[in-house]
Amino acid sequence: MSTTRLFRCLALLLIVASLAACTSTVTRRSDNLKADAKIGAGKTVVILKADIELYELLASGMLEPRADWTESATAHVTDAIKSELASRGMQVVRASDLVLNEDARAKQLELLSNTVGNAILQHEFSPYGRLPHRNKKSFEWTIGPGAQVLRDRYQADYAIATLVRDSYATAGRKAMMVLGIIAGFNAPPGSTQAYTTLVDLNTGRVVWVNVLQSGTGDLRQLDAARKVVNNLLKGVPL
Amino acid sequence: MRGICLLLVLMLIGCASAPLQDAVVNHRESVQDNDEAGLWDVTDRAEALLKSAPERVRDVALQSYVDALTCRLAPDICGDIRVYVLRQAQFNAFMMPNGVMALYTGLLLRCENEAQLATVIAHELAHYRKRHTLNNWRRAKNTSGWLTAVQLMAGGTAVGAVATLGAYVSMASFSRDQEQEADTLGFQAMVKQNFDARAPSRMWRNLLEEERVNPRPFLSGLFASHPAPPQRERYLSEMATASGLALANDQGVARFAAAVKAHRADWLNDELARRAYRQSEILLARLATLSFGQGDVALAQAALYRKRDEPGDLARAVSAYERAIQQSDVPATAFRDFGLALRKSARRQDARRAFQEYLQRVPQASDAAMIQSYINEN
Repeated sequence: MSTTRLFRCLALLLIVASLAACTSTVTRRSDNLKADAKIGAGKTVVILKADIELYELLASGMLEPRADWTESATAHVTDAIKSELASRGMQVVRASDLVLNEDARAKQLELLSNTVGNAILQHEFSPYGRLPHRNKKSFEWTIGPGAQVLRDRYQADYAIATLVRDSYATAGRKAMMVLGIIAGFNAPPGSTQAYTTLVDLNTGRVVWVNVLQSGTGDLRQLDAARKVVNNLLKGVPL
Repeated sequence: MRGICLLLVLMLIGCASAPLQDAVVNHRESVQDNDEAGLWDVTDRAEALLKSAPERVRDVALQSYVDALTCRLAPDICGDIRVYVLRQAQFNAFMMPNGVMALYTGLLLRCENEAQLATVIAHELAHYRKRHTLNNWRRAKNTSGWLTAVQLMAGGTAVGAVATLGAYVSMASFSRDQEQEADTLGFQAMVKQNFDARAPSRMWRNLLEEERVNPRPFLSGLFASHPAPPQRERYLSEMATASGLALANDQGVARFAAAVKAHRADWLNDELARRAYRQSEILLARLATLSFGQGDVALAQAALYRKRDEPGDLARAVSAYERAIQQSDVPATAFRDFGLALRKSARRQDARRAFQEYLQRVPQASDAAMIQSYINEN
């Protein structure tokens, strides 16, 4: 093995090792909210149905959806959010499975909050998605006063919505990563991408959002999922 | 070094997948493998969105019509199939592995009878029965494992590019085989129900007529994964002329016409909104020869010519309105629009008569004052 190759090998090893160990979160808050404000005392929060998908990362780089992992992760994340918020003295309710025909307005608001969450991700957190007419320092997003439909439906002051996309490498993929280090190509490992938004159901304003990126953690296990949720709720003004 | 890597990579790639059994009643209960369970899970979530999608056509009568037709074509498994009619102007239908079938309204607009619609439904049902999505996914897993090895080793050379392309082409051709299999099984299923054996080839011939004037035929979705329509038309035609099918001649025009009647005007408007006037012109000329919905089609033709407004189109619009107002159930606005086209053609007397007919039918129309001012023009 030549010196250059050895050097490249070590450098990649370092990158992969740091990727695997790192969890980063980026938070934005509504302009109206003071930096250290706590707005949750004695309030009720509804946990909207989490949008969670877990995948197996195959050796080739294809992502194969895993129903069993998705199901347990959805249960773990929802449980962990619930117990975390309850431990802060909040009243917590879980959203029902809304059906359009029976609960048209509430269902639409639920879908709207997902859409606004995705727009925030695209336009506030992606360097290429920034909207030119928006002030860089300002964070003003809302699902509109229609949020009161959700407020009345669940008797809640706030709604919390979570999206998680998570993948885990197969044994084949892990071997490919090691091979990559030796042979000099990059086969990235599985990772977690997630965000949580907190919406004020009186005004519709998105008061807080947190985006998480992580190479560690395992949402398939309840204890490990709790750690991820702790990171996801880090700095929530409740 | 690279040699060792190649060997290791090849060892990591899975072996060939076993042939799949057909889906039988309540296949959901027997889904066990992780990959199939995963595909069903993501498509279940897609279905939840589809249920509340604004594009979904929520008409109980139309829904029970397509559901009944589905059950006629696959009595054994139709309980596992959910059909969604989606308001989209393109000719398209798709099948998800979990039993969701989507039919675009652009497809329903183009069907001439129940036998042609049965062709499409039976084709999609064959994709489900043969578990084509799972099959494709497994093939892709194997193929893209090879792809990775090829990409990694070739290191971006021209040889690498060609090899990669070859791997993609082999994936695409597998899926063409699946389309042909679905065509064949679909044909058998519909003929078994006594549907006209010539309907499938006829449907493709019709589409070819439209596609011939498509300025970007190779970009249209129809060609991406399907056998080329001429080839498809040919083998379906050959199947129809095979002996023993003389009895299979049910077209079901009246049943089909009754099911789509209420929606046809909307779907024709959607077609015009594509602004693909040369194709629409061919489509409308064909629909005008059918035994149903001629008033709606004539109005759409008139609207097409007025919108396109090329030399000679005004005269074509006038003649289409003349045909439209012969129909008993023509909407009152047709007389107003007819009047406007006549006025533009400087046929003042005829225009005045059409405007008067309009105002007689809807004296309280919101634009009555303006139309009256046209009548008063000298």
